[in-house]
Amino acid sequence: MPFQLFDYMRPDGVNDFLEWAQGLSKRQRARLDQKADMLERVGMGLLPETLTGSEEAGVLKMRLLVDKVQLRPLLCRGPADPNAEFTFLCGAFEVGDKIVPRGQEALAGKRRQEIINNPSRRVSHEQVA
Amino acid sequence: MSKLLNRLLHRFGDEEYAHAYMEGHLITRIAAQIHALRRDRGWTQQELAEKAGVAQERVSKIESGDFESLTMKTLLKFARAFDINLEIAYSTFSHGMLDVANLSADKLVVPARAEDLKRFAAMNITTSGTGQVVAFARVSDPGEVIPFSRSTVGKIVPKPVWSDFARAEVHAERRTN
Repeated sequence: MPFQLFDYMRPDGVNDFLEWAQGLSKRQRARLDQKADMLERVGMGLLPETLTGSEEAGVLKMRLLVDKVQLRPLLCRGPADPNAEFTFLCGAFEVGDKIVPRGQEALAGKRRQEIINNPSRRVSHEQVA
Repeated sequence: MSKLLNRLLHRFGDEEYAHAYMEGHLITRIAAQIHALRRDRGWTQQELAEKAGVAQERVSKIESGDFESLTMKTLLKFARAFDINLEIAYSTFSHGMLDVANLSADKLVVPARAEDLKRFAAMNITTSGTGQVVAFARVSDPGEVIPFSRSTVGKIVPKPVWSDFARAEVHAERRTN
């Protein structure tokens, strides 16, 4: 069953996750797109461990190692329909077992709650053109 | 054409992007297959690690797709642990794109050697019109007959056997040539 992917949208209408992705190298973006495409097509069916829990309840880390850089996009199931959607909340990296920038997991948790309260605070997932 | 394939067709015009994307797909495929095979065999990560002679943490990292390289030696260790063949081949990007669009967990599980050989022995192996050796499942066992009752005594009719189908195939090929 295909899943729907969304990105969190800031109050000023900016797609924050897309901005983060635009700052990645082309190789990193390609690998991110590949993981997102897989998620959209089969969810976690193929790789149940590709998304792991974080310090923040309901926030998942996507594990992606590209050219020795550990990308950790933060996302959540749903939140409107946890069985049919994923929403990218913000971008992050992992350096020495720590998520950077600091506080990104808490920010992702806050954003998830914002979307639960106001579902219009997200847009369909966009890939860098 | 699907939305995904259309997007890939457009994006794969960029060489660097295409190679990086398919590297990601290859990693996903290997990780997903090792996970699917382990689950099919009913093994824990620790059990697979012991059979393959690698650390459990390594199995966990591989199954999460969180790695950049795997040596041929490690891949062969897993092939030996699952008792299956390892096949590595270069192919076209279009072939890879179709694999991206069609990959599913049920296509990743393959039977171990003993079961595979048993199945293979029960198949019909024949040479096609183009000289290729092909194997296909038997439609029914040779010599199998339709069960008969009192009303059909004396009229035992054999069911078509694989050789009949093979002959029909040859005739069809001749007709089209």
